[in-house]
Amino acid sequence: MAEEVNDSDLLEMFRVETTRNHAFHMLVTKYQKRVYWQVRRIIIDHEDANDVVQNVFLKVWKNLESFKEASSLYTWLYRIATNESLTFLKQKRANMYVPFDSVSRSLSRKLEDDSYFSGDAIQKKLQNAILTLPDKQRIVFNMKYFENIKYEQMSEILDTSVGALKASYHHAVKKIEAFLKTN
Amino acid sequence: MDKKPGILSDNEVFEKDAPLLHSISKENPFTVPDNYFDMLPSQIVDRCRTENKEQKTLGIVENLRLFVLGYKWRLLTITGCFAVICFFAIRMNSRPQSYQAMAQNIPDSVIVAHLDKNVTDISISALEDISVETQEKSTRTSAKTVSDSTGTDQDIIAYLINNNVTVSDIENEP
Repeated sequence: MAEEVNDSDLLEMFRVETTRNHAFHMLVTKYQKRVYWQVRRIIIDHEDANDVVQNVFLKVWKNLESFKEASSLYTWLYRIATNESLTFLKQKRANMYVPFDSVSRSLSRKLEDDSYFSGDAIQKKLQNAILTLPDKQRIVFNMKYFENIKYEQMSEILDTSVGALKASYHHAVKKIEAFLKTN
Repeated sequence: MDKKPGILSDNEVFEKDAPLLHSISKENPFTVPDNYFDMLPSQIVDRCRTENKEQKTLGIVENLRLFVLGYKWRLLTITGCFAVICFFAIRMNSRPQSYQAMAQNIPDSVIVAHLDKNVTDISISALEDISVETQEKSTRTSAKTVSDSTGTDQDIIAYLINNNVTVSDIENEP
């Protein structure tokens, strides 16, 4: 595997016309998995997640030159990925003309038919429990539970206070536990 | 960081509050197609390049469209304004003039010739009415009348009335 280049070098290379494509290729290689899994856990379906991931990197390509480095590149990418995923779900909801419950049911059905899901019954149950949460709470839960992202970093990504994030995670855990008990 | 005795860690709280959730493996249950992550960077870079080209082409077309549209709208606006101005100008010019204004433009000789040809009889009372009216007017605007007009007709009428000259006197005059 090629050695990973640090972010500031990547950005410097991206700003030079001749090395731009190469730098971007390296950037995608470096962050693709983290971005993909973040999106996939929200979107559930692989094909949809693939589209959203491509849109995320397209946005990154268009805006990377003006990236001010106020936050880390990783945080910035995560924020774009989260926003794009939420936008996707919003559009889906608007196109379906159905309330929140139906989108969550539709994602649940996708999970049942998903050929790219290798988890056992209890893991499927957990995913179904997560799908009952509101979008933002679901994102908070996924970030903390699966990726163990620090609240401070989550706060930067989601533009929410640490206290609110802790409360949100706590509520999510309780709801999931209740779902697991009753279903 | 040292844990204070008697205080539970986040994990311990989690285990106590959500034992079922705690018992489930955190392993990622989702998978991707084979070689997906090997091909994704190239796919994304290709898409970015294509979008870049399309955007450049679109940019030129869009600019051209905006220029033509802008030019068309500008032209339409100017034409519209010109049409409105022309409309009002024509309306102003075609407005009928008052009889007094028209009469001012007719020379005295033409009026006299017309009267000679067409008027055979003038009633004294009509003449008197006109003269009284004219006299009142001339009194009201005497200063203006002196400076603005010659006052020839009015002077004559006033003279005729003041000196008790009748129509027959005028007719009999050599």
